[in-house]
Formats: sequence, structure tokens, C-alpha cells
Amino acid sequence: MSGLQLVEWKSLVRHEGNKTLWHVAWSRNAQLVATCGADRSVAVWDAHTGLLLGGIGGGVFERTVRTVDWSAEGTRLALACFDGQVRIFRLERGGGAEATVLRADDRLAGGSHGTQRSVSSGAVVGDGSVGMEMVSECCGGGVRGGADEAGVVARTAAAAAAPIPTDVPTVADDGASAYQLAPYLTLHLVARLEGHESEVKCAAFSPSGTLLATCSRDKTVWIWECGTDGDDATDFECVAVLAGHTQDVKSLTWHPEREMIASASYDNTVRLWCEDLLDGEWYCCATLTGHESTVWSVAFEPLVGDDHEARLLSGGGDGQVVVWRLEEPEADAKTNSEATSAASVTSNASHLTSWNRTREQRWMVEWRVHANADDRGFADEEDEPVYSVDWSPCGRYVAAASADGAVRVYDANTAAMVAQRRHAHRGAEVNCVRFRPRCVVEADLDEAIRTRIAAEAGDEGDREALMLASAGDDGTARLWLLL
Amino acid sequence: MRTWSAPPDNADPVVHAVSRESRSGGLSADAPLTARIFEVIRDIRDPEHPNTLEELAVVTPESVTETSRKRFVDVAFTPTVPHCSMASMIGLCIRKRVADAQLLPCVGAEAATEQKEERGDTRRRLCKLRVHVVEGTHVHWQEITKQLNDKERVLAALENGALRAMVEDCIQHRPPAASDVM
Repeated sequence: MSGLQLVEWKSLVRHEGNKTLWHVAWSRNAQLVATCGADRSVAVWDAHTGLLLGGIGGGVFERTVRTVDWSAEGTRLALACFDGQVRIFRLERGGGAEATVLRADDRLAGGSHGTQRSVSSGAVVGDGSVGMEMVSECCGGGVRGGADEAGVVARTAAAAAAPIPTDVPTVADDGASAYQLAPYLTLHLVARLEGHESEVKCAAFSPSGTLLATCSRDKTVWIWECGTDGDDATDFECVAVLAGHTQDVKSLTWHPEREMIASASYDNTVRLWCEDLLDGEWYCCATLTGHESTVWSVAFEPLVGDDHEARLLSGGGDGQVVVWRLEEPEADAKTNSEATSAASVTSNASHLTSWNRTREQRWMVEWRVHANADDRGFADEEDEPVYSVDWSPCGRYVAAASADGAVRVYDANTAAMVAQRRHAHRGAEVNCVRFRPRCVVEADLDEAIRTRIAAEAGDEGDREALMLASAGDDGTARLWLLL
Repeated sequence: MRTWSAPPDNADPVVHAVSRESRSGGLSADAPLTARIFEVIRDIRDPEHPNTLEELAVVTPESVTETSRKRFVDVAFTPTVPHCSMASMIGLCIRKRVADAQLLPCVGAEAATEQKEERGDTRRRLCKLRVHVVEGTHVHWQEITKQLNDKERVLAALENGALRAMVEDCIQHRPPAASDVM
């Protein structure tokens, strides 16, 4: 089996003149992808077809939308905006008159190619007859290389006119088409959370869905309680303002299981914040130093076993990708050394529940790499920042998006680089990388993917493939297969 | 001209006479990139004085350099005084002016083949701008340099209406002060 490579699967393009796209987020069920950026809009795409389903633009946001996050149940979005506010939107099917909607068949303004196609201009449809090499340019060169271009147009137009189904997009049962196109989506504003004194850099729902964490250039992290999935703005209440960082907080991430947050800051540190189980107060339980510049992004290891605490991944302006490990406190270490393996699992489990303020956490660097290691050696061309890192859902790989334009994937345990894609966004800086939340690409997803996976797997039969999404300064989001 | 409510940090700057003849070099199409960049930033007006950055020796032709593999163009500027409160503003003006002139595209062509990617074809890499305060010429030279090279901070600053207006005031192309330069 040859080395892994990142193969471009889809390109999500809206023609707003190459405005920086900052963030891309998969919905929890991996059906939808949301993007947002400096064009002051947020867009929601069907992750299977690359079809633009809806969004908010047209002046609703006066400043950059920096991140977008999905709620646990997948019906709400939290948007972090440079105007200092966090907005919560509810998704609904169908085209409503209330919110500004980007419809898939809009002729998008600013398209330099001036094509007047009325077909879903945001669509990049994988046509099985052409194969993976096809890159569809939406308004520009048309569906390049598409032997079945007329068929593609007809299929999308027909689906666009179809009645609106009421459930989540699914694969069609009759097998006539590889996927069923989702109807238009509308976003309704539920709540506007104010309080941060400057740009909000990140907003993220907890895995449980009961909390929302936000962070800002005002150096603080705020914790909000979310009510049930209702429409009421009073569902959201700020329960903690966490001060400690001495500079902007660039981004944050939730621990997969605990009520715990890691925040990345312009002050070159990562801070971990926990909720004390005794008095319910949030406090800073650790400060991780080791980056030589701004820490841009953090991600926890998904919990894949009980044998160790989730590790932490960080990426920074010093071009480094770092994995941190929690050092077991001495008291538990003594206990573990006397116990059998079964008992040590038990004591670890109790360790998981007993964090409190009196127990100091110490985190150590497990490994670190320079993202552009093979380009180093020129003193005047220092490392370029790593803007975004993420951990694969299976736990085996970590990915890094870099200012040098590359997306790289590393083995999470050996730190070896397993795949890289330079010029991932036409040479532009890559701002965000996110693994698809589910490991296995459904076998019946698309003929083109199945064919390609089979070609790569050879005799190995059914093979898992990982998918990543990235967003870049070229204004596009791209979906990649790790094969 | 905008009037400032606070007194300028340096009420009596040293103003250099700028030779008009030296202008011819940067205008031709095949002039080196560093010269073309200097050409667009030399006439930026200092935020506090009716003089250009060149006249105040904030930037000189030597301020603009290229790295060994042409990955970066560095602009090193010297604030007029070590405690100049407008140093960040000068850096923002330089960035905005170079961006407006579209001398350094931030997006390249679509990758032709995957084979080229594997070789790491560095010739196709884009050239990017770095702006920094000359070491030691400002009390906060490191902090200012860091924020001028944090693209998120720069973007947010230029989205700020008041800051944006000040930057536009400074970079609007205008001829240097009259021949009786003070």
C-alpha cells in the first residue's frame, strides 16, 4: 500500500471575489457543512453533493463572521462575529421570507465570469462517469470535463423543483440517483449574545449541547448555558466569564466528555478551564507554555478508550503542531503501580471524576513537529503559522492547516507526516481544517468515491476513508479524501 | 486634513528633501518587486505630519527587501520617535497600500497536476508581505511587529470604521508637500 494522499473531492465556491473563508464546520451527522468568512456571510452546504442550500448574507453581518458551530442536535448554529456578538440561528427547511436567504439558484453577484446559468451555481456535483479528477468550476468554466453535463444540469434542476421532504436528507432508495438533494434551508435568528468587548473569535457548543463557550480579543472566555432547543433568546444565560489570558483568545475547544475547555491565545499559551464539581465554579486548571508565538487552534483527542486521558493538540504561529499529555499526579501514580491492570482502570475511572481545584494538573509535551519541516533551513524564511488543527474521530490522525498553503496529516502517536497537500487552496493560506465527524465514508455515498476507494484499497475490500474539510484565503472550502 | 486632538508625539520631525529624479526607477514594469513596493508606500502620508513616510525617513528604498527564496517581501519601517503612538497605524497603512496596489496576489492558479505538488514546486509559491518595526527603534517594536503580522488582527483593524478612515486618509495618493519642504 502506497503512502496516503489527500485527494480533492469537492470544492465549495461562492463567487464573492476571493474573500477569505475563515471556518468550515461539519454538522454532527456529517450531512451538512457550514462555512463563514470575511465576506460577512455564512453558508450551509450539502456535504454529499456540494450543493449550496442556504445561508445569511447581504449585509446582515457588518463584520467578518469568524466561526460557525453546530449544536448537538444539528438544528442550531452559533456564529462568532467581529462585531462582538454571538448569534444563534435555527435552521429550517424551505425558503422563508424572513431571513435573507442565499438560494442555490441565485445568480451570485460579483462573479467575474459573468455566466448566466440558472442551474445551481454553487453546486459541484460528482459525476461518476468522469471520476475524481473533475473539478467543477461553478460559474466559470462550467462543469469542466463533464461528459454528462446536460444530465447533471437536468438532475439538479429537477431536484430543485421537487417537493420539500420533511426529514433529513437521505440516500434515495430506488438507486436511480446516488443521492437526494436537500431542499433549501432558511436560518432564523434565535438569540444575539452580547457582552464581549471586542471581536468574538470563536463560539462552540459543548458535546452535551447544554453549554456554549465563546472567546474574544477582550482576553476572556465566556460560558453560556443553553436552554432546550427552543426559540427563546432567554434560553441563553452567561454563567461564567473566565479571565486569565493576557491577550486575545483566538479559539477554544471542548473536551469530548468533561465540562472542560481548552483555549488558545495570542499570549502564546493554552489554558484549560474546568468546572469544579464541588461548587460549580469555573476555574483555570492549567496553563500550557511551549509555543513560541500565538497559539491559533486547539483540539482534544476523541475518547477512544479508557486507558488514558484525552490528549490535547495545538497549532501555533511558530509553525508547530504540538500534542500534550496530562501527567498523572503522584498520588494516583503510586496507586497505579501497586494495582493490577484491571484495578488501574478502576482507579483511572475514579480519577476522571475527581478533578477539583486542589489537584494541580500538569501537562507535558508528548511530541511536536514543525509543519513545514521540509522547507526549513532558510533563516530568513521562518516558519509560517499553523492556523488550525483537528483530531480525526478514530483518534489515529491529526491534521494541520498552514499559512504556507498546505494541509498536512500526521500520525497522532508517531508524529510522522502521513499525507500533505500543498497548494490546497491555490497557494492561498489555509485557515481551517476539520475532519468529518464519522470515520467511514458510507459505501453507498457516491459511485465515484467507491470506485476510487476500491482502486486504492486493492484486495483489502471495504476500506475506511477519512474525509477532511478545509477553508482558505481563496474563498473556497474544499472536501478532501484521505486515501 | 484631519486635525488630531492629542498633540503629535514628535512636533518637530526631521524632514528630508526627496529628489524627484529618484522616482523614475520604480515605475517601469520590469522593475524589481521591491522597487515597485517602495514606489507605492513612499508617498503614504505620516498619520501625524503633512509629510510622506519617505520624507520622514520612516521608509527608505533599503527598507524593502526580499528573502533568499523570494517567499517574503519584508518592509522594515522606522517610526519617527521611539514612543510614537502611531507606529501601528503606519504599519497598517503600508499593508493596506500594498494590498490595494495588488502587487502580491494572495491566491495563485489552480494546481495543474498532482505531480507538481509532490515535487514541492517552490517557484509557484506566492510571495507574501511582512511588515515590521526596525529593531530597537520603538519601545514596543516587538509587540507592534507581532500584531502587524497577525492577519486576523490586521483584518479586524481594517474593518473598524474609524481606523479604516484614518488609513485611507494617509494612503490617498497625493503629491508630496511643496518644494519649500520644511
